[in-house]
Amino acid sequence: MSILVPAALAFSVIIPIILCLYFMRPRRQERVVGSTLLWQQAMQDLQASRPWQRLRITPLLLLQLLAAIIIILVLVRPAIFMSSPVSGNSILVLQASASMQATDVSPSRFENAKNTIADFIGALGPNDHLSLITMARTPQVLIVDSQDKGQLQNALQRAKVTNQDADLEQALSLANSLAQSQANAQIVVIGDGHVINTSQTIVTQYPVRYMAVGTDAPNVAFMALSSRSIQGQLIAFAQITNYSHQTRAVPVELYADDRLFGVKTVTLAAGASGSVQWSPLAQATSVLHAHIVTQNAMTIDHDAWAIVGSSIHGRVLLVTKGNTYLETALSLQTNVTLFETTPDKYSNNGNTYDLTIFDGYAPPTLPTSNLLFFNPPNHTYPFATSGALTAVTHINAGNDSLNLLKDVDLSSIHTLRASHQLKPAVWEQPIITSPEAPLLIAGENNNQRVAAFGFDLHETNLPLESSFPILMLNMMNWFLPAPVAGNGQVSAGTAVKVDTWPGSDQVTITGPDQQTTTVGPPFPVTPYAQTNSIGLYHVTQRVHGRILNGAFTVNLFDPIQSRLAPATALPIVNSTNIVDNNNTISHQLREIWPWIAAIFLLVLCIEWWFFTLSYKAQGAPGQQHSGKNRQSPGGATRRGATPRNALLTALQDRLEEGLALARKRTLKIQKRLRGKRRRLPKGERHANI
Amino acid sequence: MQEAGKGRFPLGADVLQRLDNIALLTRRPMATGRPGRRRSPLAGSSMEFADFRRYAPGDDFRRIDWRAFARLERLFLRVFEAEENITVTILIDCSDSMYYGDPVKAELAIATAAALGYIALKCEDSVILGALTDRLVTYRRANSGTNAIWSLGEFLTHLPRSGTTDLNRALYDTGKVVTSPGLTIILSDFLAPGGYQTGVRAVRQLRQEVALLQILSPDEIDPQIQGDWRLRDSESTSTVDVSSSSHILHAYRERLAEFTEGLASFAHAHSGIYTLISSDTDIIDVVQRMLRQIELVK
Repeated sequence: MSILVPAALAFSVIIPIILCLYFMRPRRQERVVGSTLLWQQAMQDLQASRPWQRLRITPLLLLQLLAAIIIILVLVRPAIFMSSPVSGNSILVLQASASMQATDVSPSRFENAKNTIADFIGALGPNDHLSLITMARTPQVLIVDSQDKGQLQNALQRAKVTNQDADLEQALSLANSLAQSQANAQIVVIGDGHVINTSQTIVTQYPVRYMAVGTDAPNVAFMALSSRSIQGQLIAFAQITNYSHQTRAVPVELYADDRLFGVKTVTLAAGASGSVQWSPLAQATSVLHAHIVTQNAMTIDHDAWAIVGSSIHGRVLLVTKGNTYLETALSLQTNVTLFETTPDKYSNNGNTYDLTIFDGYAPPTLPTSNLLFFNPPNHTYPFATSGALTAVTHINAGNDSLNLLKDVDLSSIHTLRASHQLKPAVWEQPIITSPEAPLLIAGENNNQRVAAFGFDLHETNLPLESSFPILMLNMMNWFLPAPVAGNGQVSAGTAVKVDTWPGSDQVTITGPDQQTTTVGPPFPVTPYAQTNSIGLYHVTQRVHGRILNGAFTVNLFDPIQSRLAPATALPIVNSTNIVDNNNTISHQLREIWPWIAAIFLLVLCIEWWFFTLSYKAQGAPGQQHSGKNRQSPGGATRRGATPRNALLTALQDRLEEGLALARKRTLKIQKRLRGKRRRLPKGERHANI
Repeated sequence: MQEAGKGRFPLGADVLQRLDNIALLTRRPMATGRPGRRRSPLAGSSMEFADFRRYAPGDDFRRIDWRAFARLERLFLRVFEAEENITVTILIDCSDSMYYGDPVKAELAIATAAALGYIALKCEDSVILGALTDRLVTYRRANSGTNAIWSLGEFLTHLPRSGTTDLNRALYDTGKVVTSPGLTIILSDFLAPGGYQTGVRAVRQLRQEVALLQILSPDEIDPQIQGDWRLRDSESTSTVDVSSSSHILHAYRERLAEFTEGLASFAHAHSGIYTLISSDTDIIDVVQRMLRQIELVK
């Protein structure tokens, strides 16, 4: 314990003052008695004529001395070292990633960390300030620079764990910005250290301390779930990783469209990954759900969802005199339901198709749905003017802001004899160009997407190259986009911007918790950020009065979060670890005067009680003999004293008797010592006789 | 019992009824010359045979034992015991100190005096009641007569109350009124600064047996004092500062015990009897138990 104001010890002079008051003779109340003869005789040896009297140890004296000592203790401001790492200006970063849901520490890592922070809040000193931040994919400030323990506890209760990963860099950036307004700030990160970008070391301006939560608990987790059609059979694949130190047999269930398809057990060595596959699945299967039937500390990664093929299908009409390349390419597209007709049989029956492809033909009246032209005849169309054929010398990529040429190798096209001279409308962009004329134009106008190839596919080697199916895939994804690009899987917490079809006037998303959110209108749609739950999300679009149902999935395919062993250190330059060892926990000075003041208050209450007792006894002396059950020396009936006074007297008597006994014993010992000193040797005593 | 125009008696009829069978005792017979019920050291004419003695001229022929003359041919007289009464002197301390305490000591002193006076009159003894302060203030003599009991009652209800205590002088004054041997009962707290020994010896010289009945209040016997007090004497201006503690109370009790033991041994040395009575004791309890224990009554 340390003393912050040693000079206050000078107040100790109050103790002799209190003793002095007790030495002085008190002012007395007068009382008439029959005779003072016996009192005078009794007081002869006890009474002194000096103004001082013998000190009588009374409970009141002891209480007053105790109170004085406590006051002095408060004034010297004693302080003790506390093992709380939070003092001064601290910013607590609470990790709220998916791995914090693990229950290897009771009740969970997140709740355990919250309890630790609650303890820190409880131990806050009067000059301590605290800020709270949760660290997930996006850091969130709970409270800034507060001393109010109630507000801090309320803010802490608001913290929720997520299924996301943890971005330490962003959290530290936020913490640094908060710390800039505070002097001598420190940052404390509480979590298991499973953060992204651990390979990069972060440099911070303020010291960062890391308190690890959790144990190296075993876990198995999905790392992937997908489906593929091979040789006409639909096969489901799941990749599972064993994050434990021993070989484990993991039973895995697969549900196809919410029906149990099968259970397979995969045996995985320690730290190894393995895959399991199911086949053949029904061709009409749209959603796969896999579940690991094993109890582990973390269960959020024991489920995985996947969408088979494309979640949304469009009706496509191919108007051609015959084009094997196109037919083949379109039939391979998972999001296309292909219809085919010839130009002479074609009739514009309204907007029954989502996309109409005209190959070497253009009807007099164009449909209002999406259009794709190959080798449009010479004519002026709303989207472009198709001119005469012209030779093409060189092929270049144009302004591909629509990502139609993604993974397409244009250098492989080396045979292209001629192309119509396309003069695109202002809203059309040239995707593939040549010095002579644009070869591919694409654009959107009035909720209608239109693209046109200026050449005949038969006049080029493009359909024979691997770039062609990729180009067609990109184009079909542009015409008939899935809600989420790619395989329809996103990570938890990712803001999803749904790709809508042209003409959509309402877009809603229904999450696994069956809560429906309207993301459009307005268009373009607002990003959907409520993707914290793992599972299947349904996207519903209303396009020209027709309802289109799509979907995307949110999975935790994150080895960083599924490996439960807490990180030993954070990738920070100034980081130190906080462990239970006293050497590493910084000890903070905490003043304890409030507790001493509370004891002082208690002492005052007891003193007041004693004073009340003695005051009552003094104030009503006649009542001392008003009882009726006292025994006279002769055995007759007498009146008695009140029990309260008897208690006080008994207490004081016992105290004084104890002191008298101690005094007697001391005198006895002193006498004995003196006697031993004076006792002469035997021979000497004899000689004196 | 009470008649119109005569004073009140300090004790009620029920108390007096319980005192009817009680008699005062003396340690040795006394010769007063007044016939009564009490055995006398002198020979007399009662029915109780005492002794034989040789005939002397002038003796009453009727007491000659003729059977003894027939056997021994000598004249012997049969001697019988005499029965006389005595004078019971009851002295009450009426100083201010007797009027303090809870209950006040004077109340029990008056009741005890009334009871003893009543018992004495029932035994056909003469009674002298005296009031003591720093002298013998007043007294009343009552012989066996119809109005004697009312005379005592009237005296006791109008006892004077004043002044300080001087037992020695007051007891010395009793020689003026006590002329024959008898029993003197002193009712006091005996807390007189000048002591009581000289006075009691003076009473003894009057051929009196003495009975010292010390009456103290309960808070004098076992004081229950809390806190700091200045105790003022009721008869003087002297004060004592007392702070409640076990030491002081212990010293007081030791002093009281020493005082009462001194009083008891003094009474014993002068053929007297002594007892300490608490003022909150019932009068029946005092007479029938406490005075019987010290053989003042039977």
